Amino acid sequence: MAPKGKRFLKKPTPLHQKTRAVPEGCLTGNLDHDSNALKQLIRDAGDLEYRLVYTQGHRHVALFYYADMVNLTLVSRGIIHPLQQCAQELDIAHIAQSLLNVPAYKQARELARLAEALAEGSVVLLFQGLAEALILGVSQIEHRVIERSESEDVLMGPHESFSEQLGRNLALMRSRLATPAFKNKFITLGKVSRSKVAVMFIDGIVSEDLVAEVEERLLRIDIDYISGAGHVSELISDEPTAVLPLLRITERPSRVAGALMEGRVVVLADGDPSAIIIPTFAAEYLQSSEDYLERPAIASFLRFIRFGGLIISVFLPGLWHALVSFHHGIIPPPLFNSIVAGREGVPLPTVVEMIVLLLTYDIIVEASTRMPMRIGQALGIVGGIILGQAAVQAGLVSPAMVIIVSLTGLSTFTQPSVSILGPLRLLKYPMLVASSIFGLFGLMWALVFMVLQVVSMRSFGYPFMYPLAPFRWRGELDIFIRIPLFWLSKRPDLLAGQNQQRMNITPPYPGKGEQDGQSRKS
Amino acid sequence: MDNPVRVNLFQGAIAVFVVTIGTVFFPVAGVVVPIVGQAGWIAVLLGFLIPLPWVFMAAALVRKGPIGEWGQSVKAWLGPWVGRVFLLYIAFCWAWLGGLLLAQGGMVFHNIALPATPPWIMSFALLILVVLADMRGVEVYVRSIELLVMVCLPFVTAFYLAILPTMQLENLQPLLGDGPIRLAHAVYLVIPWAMEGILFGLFIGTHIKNNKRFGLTISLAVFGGGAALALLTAFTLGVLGRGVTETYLYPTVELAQTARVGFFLQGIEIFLYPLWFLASYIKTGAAFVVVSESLRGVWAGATQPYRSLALGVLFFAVSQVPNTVQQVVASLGRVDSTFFMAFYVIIPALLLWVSIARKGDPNQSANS
Repeated sequence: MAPKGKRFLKKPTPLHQKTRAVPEGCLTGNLDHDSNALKQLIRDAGDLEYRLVYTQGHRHVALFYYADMVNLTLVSRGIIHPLQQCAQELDIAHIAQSLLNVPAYKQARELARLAEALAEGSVVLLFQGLAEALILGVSQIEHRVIERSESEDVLMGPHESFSEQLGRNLALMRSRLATPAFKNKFITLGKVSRSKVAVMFIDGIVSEDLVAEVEERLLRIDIDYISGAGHVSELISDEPTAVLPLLRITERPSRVAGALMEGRVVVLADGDPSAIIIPTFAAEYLQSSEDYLERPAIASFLRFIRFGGLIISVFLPGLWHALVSFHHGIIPPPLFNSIVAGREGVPLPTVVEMIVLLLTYDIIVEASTRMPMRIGQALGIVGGIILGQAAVQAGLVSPAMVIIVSLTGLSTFTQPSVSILGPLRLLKYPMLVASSIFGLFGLMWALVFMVLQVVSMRSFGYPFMYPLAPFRWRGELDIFIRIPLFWLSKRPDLLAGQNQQRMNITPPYPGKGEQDGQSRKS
Repeated sequence: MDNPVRVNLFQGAIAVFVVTIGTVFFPVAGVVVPIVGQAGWIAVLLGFLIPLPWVFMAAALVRKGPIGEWGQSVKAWLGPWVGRVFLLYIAFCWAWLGGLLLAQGGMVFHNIALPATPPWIMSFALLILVVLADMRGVEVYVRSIELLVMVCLPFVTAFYLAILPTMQLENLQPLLGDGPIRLAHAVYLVIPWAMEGILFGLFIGTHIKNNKRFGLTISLAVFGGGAALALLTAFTLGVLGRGVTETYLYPTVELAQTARVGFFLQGIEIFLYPLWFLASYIKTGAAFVVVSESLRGVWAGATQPYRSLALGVLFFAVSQVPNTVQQVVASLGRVDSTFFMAFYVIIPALLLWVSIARKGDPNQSANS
C-alpha cells in the first residue's frame, strides 16, 4: 500500500507537458491590449526589448525583439527611422513593401506565431488599429567562424568544417554542390527548442524511399529539446543501444558532399556543426578523406595500417592473455621464459594486471582529451611514460604487459573517425574477459558473437556490414585497398538504385606515340 | 522500409562451400587414408565429383517451389502432410548430426587446447552462438558465414603456406597401390559429406530470389569444397606420410603440430584453433538452422525464441550421448552412411514426383 501522504502529491507531469502551453489568441488591433497580451505570453524574458514608435502620421507602432539576436543597425536604420519619418496612413502591406528596409518579412495575427518568431531572432511590429503584425527577418546571431575540424583534421585536402549556424552550413554545401538537384527540406524538432533540421539529398541519385524514411523518422520524434546531431542520430537510429555507431557523424562539408553524391541523405541540425550521414556502413570508418588525394599504393598501405590497428586494438590484449596463460606451448621456451621472468614479483594475476593497465591507460586518455592541448600533452607524458616506467620499476606490472597495452592504445588511434574510437576502446574488454575464461576458444567465441551482432545490424534498413556481408566485389576491394578512381565509376549499388554511373572516363593510358616521346597530335 | 537485401546466390554459394568443408576439414585424411592410402586425395575428389548431378536435381527442385521459406517449398513439392513428414525426417537427420557435431566441437577443443575444462562447457558455449544465430534468422546466419570466411582465409592461407615447405612428394607414391575396390570403398565413405552440402544447398536455395544459375553455382561450391579437402588430404599425406596419417582420428591437428613457423611459434596450432572453432560454429549452425526452419514448416506455432531454445535443449541432449571422441566419430559415420546416404535416392524420387504430380502447377502455394 502506498504511504498516506503520497495521495496528496500530484502525479509528476512529463517535462514536455509541463512546458507552458502557448495560449491561443489573435491580435485585436488595440495596441495596448495586444502588447500586453504578447508580453504576458513571453513573460520572464529579461532580454526582450520593447519600444513604442510614433509615426508622423500619428500611428502608434510597438517593436518587440531580443536585443542580442537582431542586427541593431538594421533595426534602427531600416525599421525605426523609416517608421518615424512616415507621414501617411499606409496599410500593413505597403509598410512592409515600400517603407521598411528589411530583407524579409511575414504577416501574422496569432500571438503564438509572433512569440515563436521573436524566439527565432525576428523583430515583431504591432500597429494601433491593425489586427495584424509584421515579422521582420533581421536576425543576426553571433557564431563561430568557419574553422578547421579538430576531430577530423587532415593533412591534405579541404580543411573547412561546419559551424553551428545551419544557414551557413547549407551555404557551404551549396558552394560545393552548385546544382539545382541539391535539395534540402526543413523540419522543426523539439517542442520547446524548436530546432531546425535540414534533410539534404541529391535529387535523381538518392532513393526516394530513403528520403521518405528519414523524414518519417524525424517527424516521429516527439521531444522537448534537441541539442544537436548526436541527439537526432540516436533518436532515428535502427538500434540506439548498439555499441557501434550506425550513423556516421562528420563535421566536414567535403565528406558530406561525397556522401550525397553516392546517394545518401544527410541531416544537419541548427546549433550543431555535426552532420549525420544516412545510411552508414561499417567499412567507411576505415576510410579517410585523404585516401583519395594520395597515390593508390600509399593510401592502400595506410588503409592496411588502419585495418591492422583496428584488429590489434580489439584483439591484442585477449590474444596475448590467451597465449601466455592458456596456450604457452605455442610460444618458444626462450621467449616464454623471458615473459615469465618479467612477471616475477608482480602481485596480480595476468588478466587483472592487464585490465588494471588498460583502465589506467583509458583514464589517462580521457583526462588528456578534455584538457587544453598543452596540459593534455603533459598529462600524456606523465601518464604514459612516467607512470608506466614507475609501475614496472615498482614491480606492479610486467614490462611485456606495458608494451602490449601501449601498442593496443596506439592502435586505437589509427582510426580516422572519432566516432569509432569509443567502441574500439570498449570492445577490447569483453574480448579480454572471454579469453581469460577459455583462452583462444573464448576469444573466438567472442569474435563470432560480435560478428553475429554486427551482421544483424542495419543502418536505416541497409546492412551495416555492406559490402563485406552482403558481399560486393567492387565495394569490398575499396575497403582494404584504395583502388584507382577510374575503377570507381559506379556508385554503391545498394544506395543509388537507378543512377549508378558516376563517371565515364577511361584511364589515361598514353598512346604508343607518346611513349616514344611524341605528342598525341603528331 | 523494406530490407533491401536478402540471401543472394553468392551468399548461398559461400555458405554451401563452407558447410561442405565444415568440420570434415579435420578428420578427412583419417577416414580415407587407412582405406586407400596415397590415393586418399583422389577418393575425396571423386567423392565430391560423383554427386554433382544431385546438385542439379536439387536446383530443379528449388525452381519448382515458391521462394522465401523452406517449409512452404517442401509443402509445395509434396503437399501439406507428406511435406510435413519429409520435413520431420530432414529435421531428424540434421538434429542428430548437429548434436554430434556439437559434442565433437567440445571434445576436440578439450583434447587439443583446454584439457582442464569439461567438454560439455565448450559444447554449451558453442550452442549459445548457434541458438543466437538461429534466433536472428537465416539471413543473419548466412551473413555471419560470409564475414567469418574472410576471417578464415588468412588462417587457411597461413596454414597451407606453413606446411607446404615440409611436404615430401615421395610420400604420395605409389598413387594407386591399393587398387580400385578400396578406392571405391573410400569414395563411398566420402559421398555422404557431399550430400550434406547438397542438402544445405537445397535448403538455402529456397531463400534465394534470383536462382537462375543456382545449379551451376552450387555445384561449383560443392566441388570447390571437395577440392579443398582433397588438397588437404594430399598435404597431410605429403607431410606425415601414410603410416602416421592412418594412426590419427584428426590428422589435421597432428599436421599443424608438426610444422614449425620460424623461431617464433612452436607449432601452427594457433592457425588451427580458430579454424576449428569457426568450422564447428558454421557446421553446427547449418544443422541447427535447417532443423529450426523444418520444424517451423511442420508447425507454424513453433515461434521464436521458444523454437530455438527448445532445439538448443535437444541438441545439447544429443551432444551428451557419446562419451569419447571415438564414439562421436563412429556415430557421425553412421549418421552419414545411413540417413544422409538415403538422400541419394530420396532427391531423384522427389524430383520425379514433383515433375509428374505437380506438372503445370509449379508455384502452387502450400496449404499449411
